[in-house]
Amino acid sequence: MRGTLGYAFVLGGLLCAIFGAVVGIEGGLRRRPATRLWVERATTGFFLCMLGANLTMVWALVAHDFSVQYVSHVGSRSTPLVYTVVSLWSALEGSILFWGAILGVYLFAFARAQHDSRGRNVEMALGAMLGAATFFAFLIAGPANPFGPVSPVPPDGPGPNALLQNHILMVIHPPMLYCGYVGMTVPFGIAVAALLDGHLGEAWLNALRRWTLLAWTFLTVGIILGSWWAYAVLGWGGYWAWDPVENASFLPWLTATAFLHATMLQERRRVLTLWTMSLALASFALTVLGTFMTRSGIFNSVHSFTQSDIGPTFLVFLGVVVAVSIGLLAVRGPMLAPEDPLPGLASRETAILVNNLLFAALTFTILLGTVFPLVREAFFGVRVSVGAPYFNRMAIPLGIAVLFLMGVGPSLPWGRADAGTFQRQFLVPLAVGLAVLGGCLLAGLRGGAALTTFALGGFVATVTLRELFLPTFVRMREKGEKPWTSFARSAARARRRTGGYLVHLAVVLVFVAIAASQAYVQHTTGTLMPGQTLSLGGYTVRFTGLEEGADPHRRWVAARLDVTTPRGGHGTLAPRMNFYERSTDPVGSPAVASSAFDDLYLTLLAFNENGQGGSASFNMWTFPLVGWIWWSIPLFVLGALVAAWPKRRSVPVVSEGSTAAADAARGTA
Amino acid sequence: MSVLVLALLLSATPHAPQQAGSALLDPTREARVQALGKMLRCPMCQGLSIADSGSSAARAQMDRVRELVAEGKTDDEIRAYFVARYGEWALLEPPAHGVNWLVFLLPVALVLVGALVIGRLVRHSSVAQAAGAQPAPSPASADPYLDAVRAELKK
Repeated sequence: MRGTLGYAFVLGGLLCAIFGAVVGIEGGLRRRPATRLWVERATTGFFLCMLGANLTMVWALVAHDFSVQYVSHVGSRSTPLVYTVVSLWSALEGSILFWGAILGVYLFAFARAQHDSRGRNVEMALGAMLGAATFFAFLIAGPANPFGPVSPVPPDGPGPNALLQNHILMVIHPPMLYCGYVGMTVPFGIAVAALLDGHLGEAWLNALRRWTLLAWTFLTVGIILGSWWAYAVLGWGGYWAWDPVENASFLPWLTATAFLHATMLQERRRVLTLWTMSLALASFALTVLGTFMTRSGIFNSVHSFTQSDIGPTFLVFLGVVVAVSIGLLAVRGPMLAPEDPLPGLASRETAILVNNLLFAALTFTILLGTVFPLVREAFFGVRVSVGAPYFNRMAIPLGIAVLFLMGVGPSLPWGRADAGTFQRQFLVPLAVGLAVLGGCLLAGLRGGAALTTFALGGFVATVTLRELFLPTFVRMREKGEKPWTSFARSAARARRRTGGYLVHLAVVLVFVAIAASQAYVQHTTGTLMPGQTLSLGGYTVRFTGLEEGADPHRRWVAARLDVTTPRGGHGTLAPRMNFYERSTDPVGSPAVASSAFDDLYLTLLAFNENGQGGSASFNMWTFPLVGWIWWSIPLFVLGALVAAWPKRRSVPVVSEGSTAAADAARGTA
Repeated sequence: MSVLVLALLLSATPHAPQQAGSALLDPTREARVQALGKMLRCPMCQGLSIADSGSSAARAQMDRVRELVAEGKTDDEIRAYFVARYGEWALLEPPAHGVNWLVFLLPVALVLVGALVIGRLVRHSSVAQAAGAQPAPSPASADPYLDAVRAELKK
């Protein structure tokens, strides 16, 4: 019964999407705004149907309705309620259904936000988005239908993948990533509409930037939470393995980041409009490619749930997206490109161009490395691996260049730098960077990449803090305001600037944390009898014994250890192995003691219950500063919120030359 | 099929009970073992190195590396040993020969071409501006943004 109801919702959603796509694109091409009403209705219909289908599935999961195919694959009576609900996205069919719900929410929100806008081709934009929605609704209705009947109805199911019900982060990490992926559909629709119309007005550019920023924020949080999950669950002591699917989530993040920077150029000067639009389209195409790589099973990965036959469908859709994008850029692109001249080499404009080059190079390198083994095997029949050593070799220099540019770009003026710029803007930050380097060397730290990162971190942090707080000091001095009032007011008057610099600070944190945790990791391994100790990096652990227990859905064996930290603290840790009923191999749970300085990371490798008390083998790591990677999330979110929050009134704070350029641009738009 | 994939998935975690692997070598040689391990692919995992993976297969291979290092083999000989056994696939970074050069050279080519394009864009624009004899607006003070903040305060 629930299966039929759910499938009816899916078919309803598919019909709404097809109708809306046809009406919207037709109306958009003929510029008939009267069709807007029908496209909006179709969007609402799609939204409600997808919501209905998802709620039906959650209902079936919670009610353990094993007559529904998906429930019979991932449901189990012994799974705790929270993981039962979460199993909505713990396997292929459910995750695509969930994708549909998020897409519905995005499209509905976009339609509401643009409801009163005039003079923009909203019907075209919505039509293009509903075109993408048609594809996903088709997937849910056909190749990845979760609502199929099961006969005979089994009494119980196997439960979700053991790895996926091992940690609470699994509850929030995938929805965040999906919100990021799906969110790129909106910029795609806007970009298609703008290209078809042959011009990108200021209002569209604004919408494009804001929706991309929203998706970018979710993607950022999703990626960092994903790395945290890998660290806390997989137990190999790392947080980023350059796994194809990790790469797939990183690619659209890179192009979206490049896009957000390129739009700053767009506002001031009409340069490289075509390139900027390509970035918006590429971000969407890369999310589709990413989903294809994740879900089609062409890579063996933690994330490829199973071999499935949705691969060809995805490949066709990807082909259509890429063909439409390239076609639009080629045919309509020239209309968008009355190019303004660029100022000299040392200018903010050039810095943004170099930023885009670096991000494009990172995207290309990671994409190349990810697909190269497939290409090599398909065309030459040779199996090769492209793994962490390759990606580190290629990405670390580019990453360091990005970090360097984060200090240089904000220090350069829009327009042309004069002779005094270097002394005025660079001397103090560079001195701070060198002081950091000197301090690190004195402290006995070595290693080229890490020391470069720390020095540049000091340089960039100084530049960023100066740009953040100088306006505050000006207000305090010249208006006599209190520090906090002054900061709040100067931030409120330049939200995107303030938000952007807050995000830059978060990026510096992540860079420093990655460099420290990679360069100064310590590792040892050992087998202990009860009472024996193991020491590493100032930490001492004493094995006190094995412990067994059972939850409703698993049994576990834990090794208890007393921990003494380098700062004299005491605690206990219990790394363990979990045994799930229907999985033959145990799943390890590492135990982590975090501090602001470093993490102690313990995994239980093996245990032996024979003999006196039983022995256990451990892997023991210390990772300096690693926690800063995840603690940067609030700063990322705060910065994005400050930048994206709708403003009530705008205060133009741009320099002379660029105002003229922006006016000229508005005139031609 | 899905059972096989699940088995592959879970093989990244250790079986218990099991042996904990051979004893570590002295720090210098053990560092070499770990560095080599980082470059070799764990045959049953998803792209993890044998140094990172906790699976029994990976630890057996780490022990093999340790033996070879203890026997006095060079890094190249040890890599060749694994390539002879498992093919190029065993190396996490493709060896730089033949078609593999593409993965190293294409990104470098992209950066060079991009830098050239940016250089030309900027030079052309500068020449065009100079020809237009646009007088550069002399900034009132060091930072135009702060000037704008001050101007706004005076309103």
